[in-house]
Amino acid sequence: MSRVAASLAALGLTVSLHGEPAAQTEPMAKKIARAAESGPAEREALARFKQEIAAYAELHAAEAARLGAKPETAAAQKALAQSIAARRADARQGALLRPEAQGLFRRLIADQLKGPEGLDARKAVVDGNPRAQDEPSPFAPRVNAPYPTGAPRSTVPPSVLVALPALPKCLEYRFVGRDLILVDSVAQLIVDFLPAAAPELPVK
Amino acid sequence: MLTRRRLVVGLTLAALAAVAEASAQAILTLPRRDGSVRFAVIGDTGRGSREQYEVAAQMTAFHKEYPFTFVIMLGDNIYGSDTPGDMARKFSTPYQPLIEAGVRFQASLGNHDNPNQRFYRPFNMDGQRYYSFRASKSGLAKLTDIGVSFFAIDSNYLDKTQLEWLDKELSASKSDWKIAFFHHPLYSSGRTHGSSLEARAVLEPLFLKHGVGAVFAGHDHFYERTKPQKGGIVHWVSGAGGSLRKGDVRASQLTAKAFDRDYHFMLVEIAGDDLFYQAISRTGATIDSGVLHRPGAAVAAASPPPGPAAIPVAVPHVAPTGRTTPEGAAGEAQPPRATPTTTPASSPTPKPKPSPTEKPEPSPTPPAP
Repeated sequence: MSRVAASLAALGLTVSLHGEPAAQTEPMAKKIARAAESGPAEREALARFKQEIAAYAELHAAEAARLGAKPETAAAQKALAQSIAARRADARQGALLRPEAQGLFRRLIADQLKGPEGLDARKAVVDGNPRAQDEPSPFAPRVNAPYPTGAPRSTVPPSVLVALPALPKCLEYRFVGRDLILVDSVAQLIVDFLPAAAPELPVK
Repeated sequence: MLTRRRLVVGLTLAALAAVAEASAQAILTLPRRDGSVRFAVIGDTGRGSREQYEVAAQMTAFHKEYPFTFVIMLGDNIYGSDTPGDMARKFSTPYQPLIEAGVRFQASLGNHDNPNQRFYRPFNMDGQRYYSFRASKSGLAKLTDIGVSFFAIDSNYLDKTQLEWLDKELSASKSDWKIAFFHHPLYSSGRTHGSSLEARAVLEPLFLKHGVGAVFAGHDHFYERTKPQKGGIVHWVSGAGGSLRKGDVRASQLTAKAFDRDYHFMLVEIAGDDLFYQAISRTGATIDSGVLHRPGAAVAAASPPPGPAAIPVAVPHVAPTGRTTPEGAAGEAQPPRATPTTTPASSPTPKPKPSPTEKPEPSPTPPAP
């Protein structure tokens, strides 16, 4: 059993409940287990990604400490975003989600979203997505840009979240259209993105 | 003859106008038992629209007869921009009478909410995207009794950390009643969104495992109470506190009761193993009411003593014309230009107090409700 499948099992999500098989969660666990099978190159890319996000978390903590303000106020959040953006002024798309890791991310995501099994997850990605058809204010992600005020947040399906590498508390994944973005969860700053990370998203 | 007719018409119009301005009457059906836990439920509120203010005015009117101690918010608390002025116009001004009466708001996050709302002190999230609290007859406090436990979940982002937290919190809770609330409904008959099956796949097993008794969600802009689902859990969709999609409910096997013609809020009372509920429209009309016996609890051998009979509530008169709310930030409704006629004269809208997340604005004038 893979690490992620094991973690789901540890949560009681694949075991029987009240004597009934947990039919809903078994396909999800299988998908996740499949997605976690990586070769050596991907494992190396994954390790590098973890180093990059750990370094980002340190930067976030250092800037937050330097500014000294608690993140409760909008002013403090904006100051933190500006400070981090200044420290990462040279950052470009791919700084954290490096080219060698991009294939792995696309595969991990596709494994959760493709085919009939992925229909519910695709619906979740489209739900609230700022580039959904009924959303009047779509935007294109840009490194060091703030997540636009008033733009909705896509749901990130639990199956995708469990399949993707875990993030430190200061970062989270979101989708903008099919792009995967990494957002600073306090500064609301886009720190990196992966274009076309998700496959096409038909929901019927 | 003509003069007399004009006089009659004039008097009739004046009488009609007087009726329109007068309070209407509604009915409170909840039993108001001694020692019960009393709260209200609102979802998808934060537009600053006239309709949101009208629902808020009804909540204030009902609070006078049914003094609920807190309100759970089911997400999409603030649509669009969230400047200090927006926070006032879309939250603290419409609910100011309740806030001043000591009612506490407990928010969960929707897909239109900036996650940093968790730092907005009036939402009582204590900086957390997900959290739990307990309530008892005396309100919200560090309790000595088991009370009723509430679990505010961030359904936008059900990562492993949150699921582990939920499993642990539910497991640790000694309360008989465990109530979960969040934004995306696990069961919904909405055409626009419907059931969130991915969220259901991970949350429902935990609810069953730990005996969650009732679930409240928003997202779909209407009212729906499901028939009991797995584990006997009834799921409510209450997503029309400030947003409405008329005609969005499709006939479904799930539905016990649905209402998508106007905005609404809910009142809930928990007494022993019984959860009494009443859904009330923007006009003050009761659209659903009843009682849910806690799933898994023994059926009482004898009927519990009845509470006081239903009582009338003086509510603001509101024209029965709820309009569908456009979606998205661009569909953000314009605030009412003048004091709504539905606001009771005894409920002025005082200046909102700035919170720690709000930057003080140069102008002390609050937005006109």
